[in-house]
Amino acid sequence: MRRAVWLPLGCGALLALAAFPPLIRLAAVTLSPASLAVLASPIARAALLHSVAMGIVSTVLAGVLGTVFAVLLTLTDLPARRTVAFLFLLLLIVPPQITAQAWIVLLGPSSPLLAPLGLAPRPGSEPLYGPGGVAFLLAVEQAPIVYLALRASLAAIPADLIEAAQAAGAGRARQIGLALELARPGLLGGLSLSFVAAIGNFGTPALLAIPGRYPMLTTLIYQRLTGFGLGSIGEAAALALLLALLALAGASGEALMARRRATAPGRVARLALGRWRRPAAAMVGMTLAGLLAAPLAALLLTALLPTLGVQPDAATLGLGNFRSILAAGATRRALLDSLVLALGAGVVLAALLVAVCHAARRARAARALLAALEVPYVVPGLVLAIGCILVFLRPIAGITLYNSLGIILVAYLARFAALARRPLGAVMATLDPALEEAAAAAGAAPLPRFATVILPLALPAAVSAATLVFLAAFNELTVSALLWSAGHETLGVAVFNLEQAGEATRAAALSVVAMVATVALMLGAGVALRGRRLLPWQA
Amino acid sequence: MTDGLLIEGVAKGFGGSTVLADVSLAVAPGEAVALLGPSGSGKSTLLRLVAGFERTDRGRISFDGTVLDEAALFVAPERRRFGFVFQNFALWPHLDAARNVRYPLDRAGVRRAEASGRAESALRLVGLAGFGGRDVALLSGGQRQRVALARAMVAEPRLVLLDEPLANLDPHLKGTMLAEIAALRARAGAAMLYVTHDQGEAMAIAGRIAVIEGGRLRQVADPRTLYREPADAFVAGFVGRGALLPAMVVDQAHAQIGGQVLAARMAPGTPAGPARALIRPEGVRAAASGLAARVLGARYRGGGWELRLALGGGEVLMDVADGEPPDGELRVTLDAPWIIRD
Amino acid sequence: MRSLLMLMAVSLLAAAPARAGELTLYTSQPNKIAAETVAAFEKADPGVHVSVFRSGTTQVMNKLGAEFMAGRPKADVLLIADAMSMQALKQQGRLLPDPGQDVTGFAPGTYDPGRTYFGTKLITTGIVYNKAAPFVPHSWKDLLRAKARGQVVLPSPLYSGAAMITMGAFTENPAIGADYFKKLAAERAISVAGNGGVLNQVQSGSRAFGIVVDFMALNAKAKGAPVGFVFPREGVTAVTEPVAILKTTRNAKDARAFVAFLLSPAGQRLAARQGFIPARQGIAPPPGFPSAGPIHLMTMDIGRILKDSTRLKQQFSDLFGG
Repeated sequence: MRRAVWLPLGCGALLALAAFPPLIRLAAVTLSPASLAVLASPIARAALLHSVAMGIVSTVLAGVLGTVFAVLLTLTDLPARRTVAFLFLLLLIVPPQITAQAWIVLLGPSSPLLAPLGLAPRPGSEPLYGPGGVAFLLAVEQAPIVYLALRASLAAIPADLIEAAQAAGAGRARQIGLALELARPGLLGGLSLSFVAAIGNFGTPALLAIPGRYPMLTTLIYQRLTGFGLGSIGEAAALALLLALLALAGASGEALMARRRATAPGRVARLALGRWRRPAAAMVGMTLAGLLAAPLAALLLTALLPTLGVQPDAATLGLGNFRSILAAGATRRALLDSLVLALGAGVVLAALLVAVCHAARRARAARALLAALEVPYVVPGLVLAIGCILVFLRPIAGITLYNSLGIILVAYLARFAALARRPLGAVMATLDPALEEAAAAAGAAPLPRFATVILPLALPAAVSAATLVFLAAFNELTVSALLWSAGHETLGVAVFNLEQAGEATRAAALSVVAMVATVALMLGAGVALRGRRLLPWQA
Repeated sequence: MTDGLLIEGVAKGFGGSTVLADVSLAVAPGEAVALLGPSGSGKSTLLRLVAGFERTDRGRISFDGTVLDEAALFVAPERRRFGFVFQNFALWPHLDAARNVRYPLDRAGVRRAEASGRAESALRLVGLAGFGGRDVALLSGGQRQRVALARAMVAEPRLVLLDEPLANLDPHLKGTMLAEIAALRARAGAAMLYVTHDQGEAMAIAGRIAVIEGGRLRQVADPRTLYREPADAFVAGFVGRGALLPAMVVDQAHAQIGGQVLAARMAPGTPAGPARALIRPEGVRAAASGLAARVLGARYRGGGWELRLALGGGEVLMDVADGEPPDGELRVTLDAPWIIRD
Repeated sequence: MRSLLMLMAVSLLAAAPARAGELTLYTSQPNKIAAETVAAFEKADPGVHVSVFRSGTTQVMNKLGAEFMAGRPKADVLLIADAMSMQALKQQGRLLPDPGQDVTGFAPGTYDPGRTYFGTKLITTGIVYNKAAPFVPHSWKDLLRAKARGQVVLPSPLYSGAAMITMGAFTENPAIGADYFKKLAAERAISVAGNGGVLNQVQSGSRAFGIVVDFMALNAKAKGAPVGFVFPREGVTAVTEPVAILKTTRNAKDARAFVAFLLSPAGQRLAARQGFIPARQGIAPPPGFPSAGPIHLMTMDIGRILKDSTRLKQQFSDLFGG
């Protein structure tokens, strides 16, 4: 059947133009036999090994956690599902460095929990510094990603398939097994994204792997770039190439294992937990408290103190940090700019990727593009940012993107396309082609067909995709750290700058404000889209 | 120039394997034709080629003299304006029943009020008056297929294509739905191409049946001819109950079966020599004298028995009236059987 | 939706500033400090508007480096933590000499003899300790005591210019010794990226001792943090936060005025009010800094440290992992 050719072609071209010229330009300028020699060094080998190990271990952990939550929240009658889903997603909006910082304190020598019990580790032997802590915190960061990708696929399983298994005498475990098998594209998408996110993560390894003297690819690249200046950018680019290959391997593993199968959406399956309902609810509550409440409480306490280390009491606690950051025009601007950038990147990416993912069912070129979009997600933000500067510093077609929000938006489109494609790709893979053929038979030309059938059916997945991008872009740091300019700050940069200046308490206050803004926005979206089952926590 | 659908020498393959080889078929305006065949025979592919969901490798498809698909020439499915009913209904879950039904009218640019009116009456015709606002996911299988039917018919297409529309429904629903489809079609006066693997459906709905197997049309005929005079052993076995016995053609009206020369029917010009005779169960009668047969088994069919007999070097079926089924040896006569050439 | 698009369009197109009266400053000063400095200059020289890009020294240098590569640096004036990066830029011929700049009152070591960059203040690196620490350190060598085992946190020279200078100066200083960092690593000291991270660890009590720049520790102490800061007796290292004009500036006149303002008594008093030791002699240091005699500064050779920097950084990252 004839497809809308120009739409996916145009959308794909836009994505490719945002994503690839910076990286290609950078590679062309910097890669040489001399710089590639770094790949043979023992430190590069160790870093590669560590990155792969952390990628696999954290993905397994995140997969377990994300799958448990996705199954409980999508398929069962767990109490307060919406609230739990909402809280679980909040894990995405707590900036990872804050989570890491909170755990460092919580499990550190001066732990407010462990020290009174005499269980606090001795300085120099903290459990979090090193591979264990890295894997744990990466898993916490990535579990919501697995959850979001899997949820869309689970929610699309028609009830009769599960009921058929019930009728065939399958117990709950087998029914869940069947559901996961049916939701395989989503699960695989989530796992591969988790792996790619893990090997491309810089923030958590920077806080935990560096003090643990456990080199990983991203920290090694950053170290080359920052420590040895742009003279070693070739080595950084060569190491980034290694990351890109790893990401492509992860993505093609997903493609190999994914089986396309068509399911017609219908009634959503719902399993009764029975006597497991209360234990399951308790487990979910405790997990959320551990993963979310602990770092949030630590963050809030920090934000209320005049400076770190002060004993919290009536005299010291106050809103001074909030007053001072809200009074500063730059932080207000940073909040607004990050809001515009994150919403813009989310909406634009979801829109472009609906068309490209739809075309990917048939067009090999679209599939290749989607695989290649992993690369800008996994190379360090700093590398992507340098590439962007190389390409966009001079005006293109009379428009100078440099020193505007535009260059950050373009970089975000490149950076987060891999994130947005997961939920969309999974839903497109399971969409029954007959739905579109029916529209063709009913006289709908390709474009109207896309607008009236594909788009509405893809909408929940598109909203999931946009949400993922929004949450990731809102706190983004490593890309915008080089691309921001006076008057065009981002939230991540503002927090980073405060931290660098030793203003940890103000940084905490700004993070709290950002999180409150995000939660308010999510709640607002929930009210606006009430009853439409579009948002990831409205399952 | 021929009115109606014309399929000429169409071939189609997927990834190296041939699915259709040189298929030709005509459907006159207002005519109902069933495409009958086992699964994997290529019948759905042929229907999808007519709809325009796939393109032919060779051959030509035209409608009312307009070429739809031949070599580089291709009319997109949305411009063919045929109705299509899918096996799994393919209703759009984001639209309610009424919006599903009126979708073709919306695409054709029919004004809102008129489209709503027509959709409503189409729903009434399929017995779903007042169901317009329902979420299609919450309808029963039969109701969903009715909505799909209303959607396919609402724009008054000249040709309706149905792909195993009743395969997902309960047997007791099938009869009613068949009657409704037939009535709807007759009222609309549309031509119809109806794909099924169920000969009962095909016979009930179609004036002519095209039997397809292995990507080739085996026979195109009215149901009675198909049943009484199948073109080959495949059609004989696929349509209706019956069995083939070895036979020797004597002349144009006789053949030797089980050692006796009997009256037989055959296509004109059938040469003398070895062939096979199609024995239908209702053509086997108990008699005082005749061919010797032995009862191998009996199966109750409601109102009568179906006997399995050893006869003339093979096995045949025989229907007998209710009561105690015969056992052991018996003698039978055969109503002039149909001769199929080897 | 439409208004969001409008907002985006407006933000995207608001770029490309005009040159006259416009200066672009790339700096590693903390945001608040940079904003105050710019505001004071704009007040003193009302015709000029300064746009600021602020980040860590290494990020500023990376951004600038990428701009050099693309052939069109945007910055006019550079104000970064350490002279080493400036020295590197000078060697690449990126800096505009300013022989007319008045350097009376500045000690010779604080500015480039070729008059391309000028130190604006002295930011020393000393030891911060938590009040709960087992002892109060007085010497760099105290950090190697058994009681300090696993209790020391230090900034990485890969991220911090001040840390680089410190490492370079220690290596040249016989009183401390070239193997000081090796011993620290053996005593399970850990490294974090920047000075802010060091301070966090010590303030929150995760580590008892940290090597950190003076003003951060003293600011935190003034706000009530349970920390103290010492200038060890072997002497301290200092970075001078030099300012320089890029050769590619399109507004040399206002750039020179900006440099002159930073070096003027008014600019130096501002630095003191912001909590820094002024580079210009005769301006009172901020309260909280030792009043008893001048701080003992270690001698160092910026050129040599720059030459050794790659080796030193490699050595550090081998020892501490980053």
